[in-house]
Amino acid sequence: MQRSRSLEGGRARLQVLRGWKIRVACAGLVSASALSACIGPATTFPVYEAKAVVSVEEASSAVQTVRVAASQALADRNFVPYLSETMHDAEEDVTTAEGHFSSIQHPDARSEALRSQAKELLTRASDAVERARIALRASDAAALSRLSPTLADLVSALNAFVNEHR
Amino acid sequence: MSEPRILDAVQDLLDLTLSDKEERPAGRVEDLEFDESGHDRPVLTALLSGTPALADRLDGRIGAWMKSVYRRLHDEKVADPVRIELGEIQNINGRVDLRIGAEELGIGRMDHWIVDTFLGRIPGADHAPE
Amino acid sequence: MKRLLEISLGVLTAIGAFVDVGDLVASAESGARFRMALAWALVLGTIGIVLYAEMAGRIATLSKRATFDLVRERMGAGLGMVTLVASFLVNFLTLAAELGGLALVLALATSLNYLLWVIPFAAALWIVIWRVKYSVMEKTVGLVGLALLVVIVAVWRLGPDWSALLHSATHPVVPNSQTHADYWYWAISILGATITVYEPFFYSSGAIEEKWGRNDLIVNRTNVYLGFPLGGIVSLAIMALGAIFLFPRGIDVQHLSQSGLPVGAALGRAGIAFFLVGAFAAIFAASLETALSAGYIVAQYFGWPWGKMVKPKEAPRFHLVIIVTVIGAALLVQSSIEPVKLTEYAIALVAVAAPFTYLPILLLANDPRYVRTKVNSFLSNFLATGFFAVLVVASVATIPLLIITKGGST
Repeated sequence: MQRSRSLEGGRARLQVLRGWKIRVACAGLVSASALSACIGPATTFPVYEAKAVVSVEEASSAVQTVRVAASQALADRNFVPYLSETMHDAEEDVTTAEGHFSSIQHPDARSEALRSQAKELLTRASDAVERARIALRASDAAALSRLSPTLADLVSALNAFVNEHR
Repeated sequence: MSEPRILDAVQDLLDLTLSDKEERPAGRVEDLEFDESGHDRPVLTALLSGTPALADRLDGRIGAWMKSVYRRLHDEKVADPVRIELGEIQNINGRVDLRIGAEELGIGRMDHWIVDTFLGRIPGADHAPE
Repeated sequence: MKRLLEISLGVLTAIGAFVDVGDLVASAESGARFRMALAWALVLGTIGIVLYAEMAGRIATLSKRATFDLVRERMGAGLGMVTLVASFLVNFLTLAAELGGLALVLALATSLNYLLWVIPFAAALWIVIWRVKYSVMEKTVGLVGLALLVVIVAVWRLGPDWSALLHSATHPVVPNSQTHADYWYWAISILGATITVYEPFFYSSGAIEEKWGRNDLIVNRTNVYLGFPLGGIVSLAIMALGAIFLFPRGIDVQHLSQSGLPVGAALGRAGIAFFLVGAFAAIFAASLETALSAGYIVAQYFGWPWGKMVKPKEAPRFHLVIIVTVIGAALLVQSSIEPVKLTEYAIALVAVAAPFTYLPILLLANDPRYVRTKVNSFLSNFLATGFFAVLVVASVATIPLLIITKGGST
């Protein structure tokens, strides 16, 4: 008794081959995403500068988010749980940006100045966002109100850095 | 009785769904069995179904892996395909209707096990959500 | 009259259930980064899903067979297996992303950690699949999902410069703050988010579950031609909110919370309430569809009994596949992979796998053995083939772009 396998053996082999291609594509996707998460050392000043810009931009986005959340809190335009989550997320973003930037080795003495400038900005951002989150948690409208100009100035400073070094 | 039709075994028979005498899905035609002895053309003798038949068709590592999983799940040393004699076929029209039931075919043990072990114990297993 | 009611309900359900977590994330983020410069990708994706869902529905209605059933039959065991593996992986990852999305919405509503919500919702999802009638399930989530129309109201309320918005859409420009690589990565993401690869398989199986006949072809066409584009407008509105509110502030959508802020600014608490309820329902609809789709494609490939229309005891393997898939997806989310990142990866995988899952549909819709006299018109074929070519290009470009842009965030 013969199976029809022999009749379409060729076709079956081709089909199995394509199965391998799918597996490779999947493996590729997985390793690509792993690769894309890698943090590499910055080898030259321009590269370091670019990474600094990315970190500061991330912080700026987070601070702006907090500004919007704070203004919505003061105007009662949103729910406290929602805004609380928003501020928590923003704080996480700043912390990540800070940590990410700190872990990058600056390549030369010239980038030393850049490093301290960026670090200072990121630390200010981190403080401001934390204070905002605490003020919201404590339902302290006055504190949130007082933070508004601080946050506004911070955004200007962060954006100035980005525009200077992009 | 309608006009006998000529079907291409590979094109029109392979991969069709099987339907038992109660019109329940009973797997697919995974492979075909031929008798090549002493004729000038191979003669179709049976349809083959079930995981082992599919495993043979897929070839290579996938097929071998499928077979070993099957063996382990069914606690058997051999993995035989389900063999359907041509006489058990009622009709072929986009699907293969059989004259026999699932039990006679020898399929459905896994289904019974699934139902008996846990699916059947969940409330509502007996009702279609109508 | 009854027919009219049925059609209207179908259209409304299609609108409400169109958006899923991928659309929310991709549309909001694209608007925030590129203003309306990726509106064309959204329109293109919507046209694509309209074409292919109509074909899948037509094939199922006329042949009385679900799409994947026919995929196996026409492509054979080997190639069919490749399509099955690709489709299943996409389904699985998408389901995980949707479960993550549900958990995130609840976190926003309650301020309780999203991880607390994953298992309860996975369980709720499964209970609905197990006990709730198909049409009731579809219509309920679809209608509640209409709450998401609030985003259109929000756009109007923000009083944007309409001509600037239109100009941004019709004259796409990559802003200075973004790279071209990012632009094309997000173009593909929008495409992947919109086309929802499981949709044709789910939709066609649904047609069989609801026992559509020739008379229902018109229902099919109306649902798809009217409902889907209107659903696409919801996504477009989300993109517009990103363009109007988030872009000028340099806010990047890293979290779901940011995508809803424009709604709060425009409409206050009422707007946010509608947004959360609508998002929840729409994502829940998507979760139901992906979970069922996983069961459909596996059961149809192997020739097992399937469907919500039969007693679970009569389709045990179908239900087992669904249970295992839901549990697996829940575990994946519970492993603390960031849900928005998970969503982005799911979308990328959709883009890679789309040609494999869409090609059979295109071929079957032209095969008179299955659709009898209603084969594709020349126009349909022209558009559908063109769209397929786009999918192939996108599929090839996805992984390189993913690497270059480090996941769209350079």
